[in-house]
Amino acid sequence: MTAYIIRRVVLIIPTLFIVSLLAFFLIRWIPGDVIDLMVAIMQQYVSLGTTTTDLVGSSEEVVEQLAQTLREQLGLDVPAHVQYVRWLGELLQGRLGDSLWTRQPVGTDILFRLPISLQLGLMAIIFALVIALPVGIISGVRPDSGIDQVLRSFAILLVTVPAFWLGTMVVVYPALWWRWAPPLFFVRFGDDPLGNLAQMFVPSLIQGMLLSGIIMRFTRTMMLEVLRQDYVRTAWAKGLRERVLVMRHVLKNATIPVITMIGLQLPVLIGGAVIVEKIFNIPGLGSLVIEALEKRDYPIVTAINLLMAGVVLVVNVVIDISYAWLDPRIRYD
Amino acid sequence: MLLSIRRAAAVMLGLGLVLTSTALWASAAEESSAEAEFVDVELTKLDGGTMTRNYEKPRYGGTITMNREILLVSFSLWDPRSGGGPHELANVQITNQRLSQLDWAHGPSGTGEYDVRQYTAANPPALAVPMLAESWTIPNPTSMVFKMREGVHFWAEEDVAQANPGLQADYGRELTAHDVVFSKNTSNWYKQGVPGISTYTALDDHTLEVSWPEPDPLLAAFQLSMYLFTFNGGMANIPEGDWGDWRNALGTGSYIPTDYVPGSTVTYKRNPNYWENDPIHPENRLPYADNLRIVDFDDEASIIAALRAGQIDLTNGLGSSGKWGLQLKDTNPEIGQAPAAPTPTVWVPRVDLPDSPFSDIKVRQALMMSIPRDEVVEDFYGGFAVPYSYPTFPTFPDYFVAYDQLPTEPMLPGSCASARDVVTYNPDKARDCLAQAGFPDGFEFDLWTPPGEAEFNELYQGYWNEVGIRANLKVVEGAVWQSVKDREDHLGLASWTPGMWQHHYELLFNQLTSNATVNSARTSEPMYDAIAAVVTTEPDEQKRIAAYREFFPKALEDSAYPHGVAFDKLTFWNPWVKGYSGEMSNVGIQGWHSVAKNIWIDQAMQP
Repeated sequence: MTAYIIRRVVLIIPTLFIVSLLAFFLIRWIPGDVIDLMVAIMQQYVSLGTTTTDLVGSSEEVVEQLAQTLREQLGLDVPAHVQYVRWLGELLQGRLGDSLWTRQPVGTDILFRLPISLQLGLMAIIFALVIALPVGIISGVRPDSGIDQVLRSFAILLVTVPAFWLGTMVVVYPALWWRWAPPLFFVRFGDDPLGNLAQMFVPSLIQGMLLSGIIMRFTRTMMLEVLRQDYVRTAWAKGLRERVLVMRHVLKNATIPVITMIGLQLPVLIGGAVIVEKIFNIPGLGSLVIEALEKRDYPIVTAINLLMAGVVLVVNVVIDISYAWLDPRIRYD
Repeated sequence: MLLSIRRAAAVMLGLGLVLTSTALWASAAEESSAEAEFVDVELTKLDGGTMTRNYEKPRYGGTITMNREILLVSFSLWDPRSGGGPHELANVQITNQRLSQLDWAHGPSGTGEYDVRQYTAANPPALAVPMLAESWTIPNPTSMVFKMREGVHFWAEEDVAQANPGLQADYGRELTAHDVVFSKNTSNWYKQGVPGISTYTALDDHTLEVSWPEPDPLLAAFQLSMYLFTFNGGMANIPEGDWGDWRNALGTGSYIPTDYVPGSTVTYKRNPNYWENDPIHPENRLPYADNLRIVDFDDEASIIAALRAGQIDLTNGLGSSGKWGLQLKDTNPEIGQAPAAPTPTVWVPRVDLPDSPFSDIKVRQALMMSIPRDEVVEDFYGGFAVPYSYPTFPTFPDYFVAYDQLPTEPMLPGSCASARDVVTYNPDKARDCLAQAGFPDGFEFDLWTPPGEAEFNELYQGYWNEVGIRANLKVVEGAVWQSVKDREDHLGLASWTPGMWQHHYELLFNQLTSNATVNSARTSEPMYDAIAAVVTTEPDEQKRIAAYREFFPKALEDSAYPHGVAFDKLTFWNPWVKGYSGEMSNVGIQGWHSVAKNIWIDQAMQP
């Protein structure tokens, strides 16, 4: 088992290297340039071409001078592969680079936002499990019954409702009807735990509800599959009560694939809660990455992609290890 | 059965709680009027005469909550050297100050001689009044001398969130002309060459000379509306990497940062030693509110919800504010609203590319004439728009030529319509111009737009379609759109809402002259350089105005940048925000958050 874990952890390194290449170059190859954006913003407000500037030449020459100055200041004046090597050097020293816009270390921003996204993601998973597991179990134990039909319809509804719609409804209509909206100011957990939970409650419930639809259906399917196993039939024949059978013998085996799915959803919930974060004004990684993409802030986008890839890889290893714990038949040696 | 009754009772209780809290809020709002005390204030008008205006007497205390103005401003940047760039203006507009500011006393909250939209402009200099400079003179055409205000101090060490030993000498120190020189010389904005040739010299601690090599009547005014915010010279003593730490922000502004949550909130407290009095109630020292909170909202629906719920007090800069304004009028008439920032709708062609249909003036004119401007103003923008604002806004009345004064005959070679024609809806004439340009059956082109501008472009797309100009709408993200608009050899149009034009010459200098660096259309008409030469060298303002008014209809007829109507972005504020009438700024450029120092909060009304 130990050898297996070591092997899996070592394999993370080349995978991350490949991801770093993709994350670094892809954002630079997509259309749109950070320098164009910066120059345009500067131009929008002040005439660069009149006597008020010491840059001389035609319109395009002045733009080019300004763009070149910015490129030099930001280290973008060398070929992309040279930038990559420089960035990799910094990464090996534990630095993720500086934001092109704020010139502040990317790592500081990510370190601040990661726990917020983690909290949102974990709360969403808790809500999802609280909703999905009981419903999935009931639905699996009573297949094709009236309650199963109702619960399955409910699950499909949850899967199909988009987060942006639900989030917007929850924010907009109570404000319109009752002059009330969910708390929309972020409060640090350390400063005010209750205030923080109050703000996170609604967005994580929305995220959790959407996730619960998938988990609910998955749990039902797995319950049905496990309930057909021979050992379950044997347990029935031995006269075990339904509650004991389901909770002790069926559920544990049925939840293995469910755990895999939840584990794989975690990075999505952490880095992909863009819309919910925007609607509820939560300063998480999702909103950071979307802002960075809009502004072509390459170091931030690259760092978050790398981080998310790292999370996926680590979670995968943890899930594989958890199989052995959940199912004694699984051995990695 | 019992369970159902309990559930019904719980629902009723919940509803009751909501209704009770709403009623309490409403009654609190009514209570405030009972507490209000009114005073008559005698105000001095621009012509020296006086007028009396009745005000609710300002009260101190409370917290003002504003959302971040949705422009490309960022509260994540704290390095004061970056404060020169408008997109980086967010923090410095609160923490640091300029030599001059806009004249609040004559704006809409004062004598009302400048309306809200006019008040947004950095120019003319008539709107500028002293701030860090107490007075100024223009001794010759190549320099200005500023007398610095005495007794303005940087924040005290005990007031900042976390003192930095490297800034020890600056805490509580008096601001001098040397700080202004240091700020100018270290500002990224100026170092990048904008505007680089003016030289700042501290003649002594309280006298600053700004000079430039050639006489330039515009430059003197520009010094008053410039982007320079003054910070402390002692910043040079701390490591480069610490300049951007919010805890090292040090200024003379009315509010001091106490907390910063990246991407979410900045909280400030009142500067207890702030130097400035209310220009309308001179017996009152500013600011009024104890705390200021800026919330970094992005989502417009959430901002409006927070406004309705009383979570934020005032908001500004929403892209779809016209739509929200109409809604709020119906649902929340108690929320104040004012048209703050006129925003032109412009389409950028490449007039230098022979293959582009828009290089032909007749095609641009056809595009213009197929727009029913009055209908768009009324039906789409609810009246919060003007039919045309090109080449300058009606808010610069001396420079703007009204519709009935526009010529009715074409003046330019190759033109098929007069200046008045191009802003008059006439689809038949548009088709005729298209035929003359060689497109009797119309043509198809690509129209690139950022997502926020797609909605109104769909509207115009429909109008153009009527005359045979078929636009393929390409909705692309901002960075892609920017590159197309400024860099690529495109044969279509790029939609553009450049924000309000701060200055009556802004379009001319920034977009139309041959060496304007945002000349995205690549115009090269001699008339643009000719008028630019006149207004930069003619010292007599009346002559400059006359020359510009002569130029105005020609620019409109040429429509090098075809344009739609100019719509207003609205400012909204809750009824407990007092002493505010929708002003967009009091520092001159998009420094909307700086209005916090002048306004006060009726805490009895605030939920």
